[in-house]
Amino acid sequence: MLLVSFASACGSQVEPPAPPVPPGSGECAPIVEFFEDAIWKPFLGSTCYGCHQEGGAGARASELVLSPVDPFAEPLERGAQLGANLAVARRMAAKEIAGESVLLMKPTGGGDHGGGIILPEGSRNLEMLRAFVERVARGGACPDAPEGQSPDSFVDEGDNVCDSPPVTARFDAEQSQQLPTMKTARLTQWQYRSVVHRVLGYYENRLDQRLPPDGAAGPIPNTQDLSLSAADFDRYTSAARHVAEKILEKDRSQDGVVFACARGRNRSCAEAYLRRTAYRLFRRPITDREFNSFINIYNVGSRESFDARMRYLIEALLVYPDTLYHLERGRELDQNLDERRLSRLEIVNRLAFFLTSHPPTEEMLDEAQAGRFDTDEGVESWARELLAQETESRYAMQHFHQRWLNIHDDAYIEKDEDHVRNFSAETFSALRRSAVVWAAYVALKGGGSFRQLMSSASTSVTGPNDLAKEYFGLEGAEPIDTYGQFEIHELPASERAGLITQPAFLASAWNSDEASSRPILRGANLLKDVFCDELAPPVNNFPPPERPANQTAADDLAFTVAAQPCKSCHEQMNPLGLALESYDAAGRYRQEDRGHPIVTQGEYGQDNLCDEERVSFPDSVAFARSLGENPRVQACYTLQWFRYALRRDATPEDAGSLGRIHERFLDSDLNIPELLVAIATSRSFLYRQFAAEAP
Amino acid sequence: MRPWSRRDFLKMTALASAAGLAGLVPRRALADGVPEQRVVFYTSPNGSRIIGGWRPMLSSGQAITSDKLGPILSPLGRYVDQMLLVEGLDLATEHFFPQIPGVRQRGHAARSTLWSGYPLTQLSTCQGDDSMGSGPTMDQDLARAWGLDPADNHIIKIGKKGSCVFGNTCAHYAGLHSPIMGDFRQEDYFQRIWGDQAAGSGSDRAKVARHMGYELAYGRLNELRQQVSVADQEGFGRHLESLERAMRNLNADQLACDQPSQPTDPDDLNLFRFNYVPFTETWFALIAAAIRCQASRIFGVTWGDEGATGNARHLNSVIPSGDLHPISHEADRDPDAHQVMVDFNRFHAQQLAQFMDLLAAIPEADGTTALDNTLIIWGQPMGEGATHSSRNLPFVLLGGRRTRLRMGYYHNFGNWPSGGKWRDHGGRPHTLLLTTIMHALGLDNVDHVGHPDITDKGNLDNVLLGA
Repeated sequence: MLLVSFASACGSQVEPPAPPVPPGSGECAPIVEFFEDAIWKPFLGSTCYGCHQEGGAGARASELVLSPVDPFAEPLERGAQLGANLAVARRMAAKEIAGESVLLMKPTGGGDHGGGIILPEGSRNLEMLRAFVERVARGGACPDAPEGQSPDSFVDEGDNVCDSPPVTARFDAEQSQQLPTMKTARLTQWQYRSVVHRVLGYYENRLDQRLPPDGAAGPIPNTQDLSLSAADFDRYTSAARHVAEKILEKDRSQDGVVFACARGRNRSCAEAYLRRTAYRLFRRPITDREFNSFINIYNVGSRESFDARMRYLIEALLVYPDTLYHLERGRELDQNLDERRLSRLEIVNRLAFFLTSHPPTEEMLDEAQAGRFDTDEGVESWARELLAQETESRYAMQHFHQRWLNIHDDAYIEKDEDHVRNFSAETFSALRRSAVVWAAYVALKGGGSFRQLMSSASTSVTGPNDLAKEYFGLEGAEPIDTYGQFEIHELPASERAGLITQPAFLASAWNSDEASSRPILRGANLLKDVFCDELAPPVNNFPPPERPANQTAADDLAFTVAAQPCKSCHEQMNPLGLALESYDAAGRYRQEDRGHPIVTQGEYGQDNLCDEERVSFPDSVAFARSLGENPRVQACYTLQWFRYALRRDATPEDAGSLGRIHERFLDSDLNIPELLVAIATSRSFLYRQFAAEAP
Repeated sequence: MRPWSRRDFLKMTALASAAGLAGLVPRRALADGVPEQRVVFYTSPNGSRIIGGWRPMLSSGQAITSDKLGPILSPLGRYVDQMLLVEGLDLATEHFFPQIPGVRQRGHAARSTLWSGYPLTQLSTCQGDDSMGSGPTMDQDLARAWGLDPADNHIIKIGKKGSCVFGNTCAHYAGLHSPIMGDFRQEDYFQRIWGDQAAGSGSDRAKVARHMGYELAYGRLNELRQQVSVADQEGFGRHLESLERAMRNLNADQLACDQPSQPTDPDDLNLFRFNYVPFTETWFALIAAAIRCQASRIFGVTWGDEGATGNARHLNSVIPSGDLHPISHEADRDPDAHQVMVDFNRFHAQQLAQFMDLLAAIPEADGTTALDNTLIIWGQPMGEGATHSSRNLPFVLLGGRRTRLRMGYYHNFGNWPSGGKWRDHGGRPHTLLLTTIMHALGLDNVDHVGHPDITDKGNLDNVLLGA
């Protein structure tokens, strides 16, 4: 089943986030789904169909005759249309000439294909076609096949949300902890910015905009499936020039604080800077050969100022592969094995970005080199120590929750003053900080309970000028606790309950627009990010029909559940979004909307959206509280942290690791630091599959 | 630093003209005296308003006069003799691939088929309703036909930051499933064209140092490539190609023409929708400067995306504020919304008129101007945004005196809106216009632009000189 696309079919207009892989293209997705999403839509139903439709030039010359698939057809009819084409494709896949499948031979230009090369070597589409042929013609196995059922016998019953397996189906503690193959990832935008900040001493909030875009696993950014295009490379070089310039400016304006040349701005100062900076940029010691090469770059400007020469050096360091990539080869001891434990420095690189959201410090690298992470116990004790140091681990907590729920400054949409009073980008930014710092407080100081995170009626604010304090009306109120420079304040328990009732989540552009709340988007976002549910994308994209004005939000949305194709998804999404209607476009609590009392009571399925066992809630607060108790939400939280830690999505091979991690989370009574320790010591985290990676 | 205003750029251009033009005249033009032609593709979002907005008060085939232009195109009135208006064309994929995920269902993603004439297919890099793409686009073919590297085309996204490239944001494709991210930051664009020049006297040493840095990265990456998986080898291979290209570019001659002042991007591109007028002006001024410096001959410029970009507040319109996208959906039934969309389209015409002013002020070696040698093609993937209709697309061709286009006329090849907005109105596939443009640029051996299964091929009647 497909991941959610929550730019609703029925009139919503929000740019959806961008996971990197085509839905249904997992090789072991149900065959009809895999065929549709990885084969039919990308090329067979478009490029190939052009010639191979009935009467077409390709159809006259070959047995591959494809029939049309009507995207508007009822699910069963469309399934039948797809099935007919799947049958043709199966037949062609099984047909071989000189031992090669005709379905593979032709589009790669073999067998005098009239259309020439359709799928170039190395393309993702060819990779998918090979997987398809392997599966349907050569008996390739799929490990996630339901018990007693061949994956190929799966019958596509249409894009109905009720078909979607719950996130808990991805967990299996009984399964052995296998490891998937991985690609080498680049630093995400956040990580690059953090490296520039923590290692080079320059911070710029908007540096992200100069960098190549990230991909995503769910809401969590990653770059594993993205290769570097020429334009991306230009962005890195441009960013490197910009950063170098800014570092020089800072050094000039702050009396040489960056280069710290105690004995003069000369070559020996440059050498010292290079050695200590490269250690942290590359997350390993620089080799002598590299050191000499970089110093040669410094020497090019021998007739220029120290500043100009340092500019060249910094630019070169910032485009060096070891700066840009998370390079992993496994420890020396395991080099002959397919599954290898990561080397000491590779582990500390993962741990630091996971638990602090920053690159490893010099001390961490030193500890790693001294053997601190050679055993799982060493990793665990270090992880616990680090989580106890709130100053470091707080950033990871903040960053994770900000990404998980899309609570970041870019998610602000300017509010229309006619509808939303006294709310600005600065207010939103203050509320964002308030929400994520509060999440870190709950996780690291306030008991660490996930239930608390999803139900507690409190928040964090700073001093008297904090706009969040003004927003919540907390001037003069006594805090119940402090957290660094922040005060923790209680909020009315009848109005707030946990993270999803924090105003920054509700007021973000993902959940509200300039003037109003967006219940469809709120519902879809909850399904996607909080329940980790999977929904078919909208099958249509047409403007909304006429609907009555000045009625309740539920009335506004009535048309989306009146008939297919919108109904099947919206009747699941809408109740969740409407459950949060007690909060307006600024996340303020309200009891009526457009003169109508707000009714937020509702229900949702316990184990999956359509489960007959229903979770009922009388109001928004009860709804929010129910989330922390829901097994799917708890499992989803584990999955999102797993994605964050591993910088990739979970695969079927991870089911064993995920299952064990989640068991530890449940055994700890949903303690968040325990969850992180479980991930950090899991096999998925400390080991990597290198099979089939040989050149 | 404030963004450039139009006045700043006009002043810059005028000063350059007055200061003696030798340094500004493109070198390739000086070599043989005949300026090379250029093409600018321009794509604007959210559809037009054909009736009551775009359509001139003329019959098909009549010469255009400024008093006959509708409210959308009236800002271009001073250029009627360098204007060709074409309607009655439908997005070709609507005609020939209705059974494949079509533009009608994926209205926003229709942008990706405008310059390609290829059907929509799912993009593997994105996910969501608009995660459709097509390709390859005509600008790529044009570059190859002119003996240029398509990678040197300038693809610019005004106001769209570099998030995942969807069919609704991306109008230019290097090939199937290969959307071109393009430039979206003015500072980066400036840096790429004039950066080393701006670096001043140390620029030679800067080039050598950068070259060494790239070589060092290249060596390391090549070493790593020997040790990694096949999938990684492919990714590292692209990185290596980018490094090679960067080194080649460093070795190439730097542009020998005056650089414009360095622009400053707004702190937050997300706020573009609320501040798009000066931002758009600055982009067009940079493109004009790039044309003056012969930085490229082919430009693909897309404005925002087909969806949530732009706010009505800049339009001095009857609706003082609000997202243009939802407004566009009301334009069929709400006169105020109709007027907003007329104003929004008029804004684009104003920008193009100002851009033409800038080009007209750039002299060429043979006494003509850059405008005479630049063909601007303004296209939109939806004729009417309210219903996502990709029937009856409005095309505006500007400048291009050096082409074989018969400028100064209005043509209507259909009978819009006869039979309803999704019904057949006798329109022809828009790929006929794309093919005609190729021929107008002297590429007579191009028999068709678009997917080969589009069987309605050839030129549009009466659009070419001597045809």
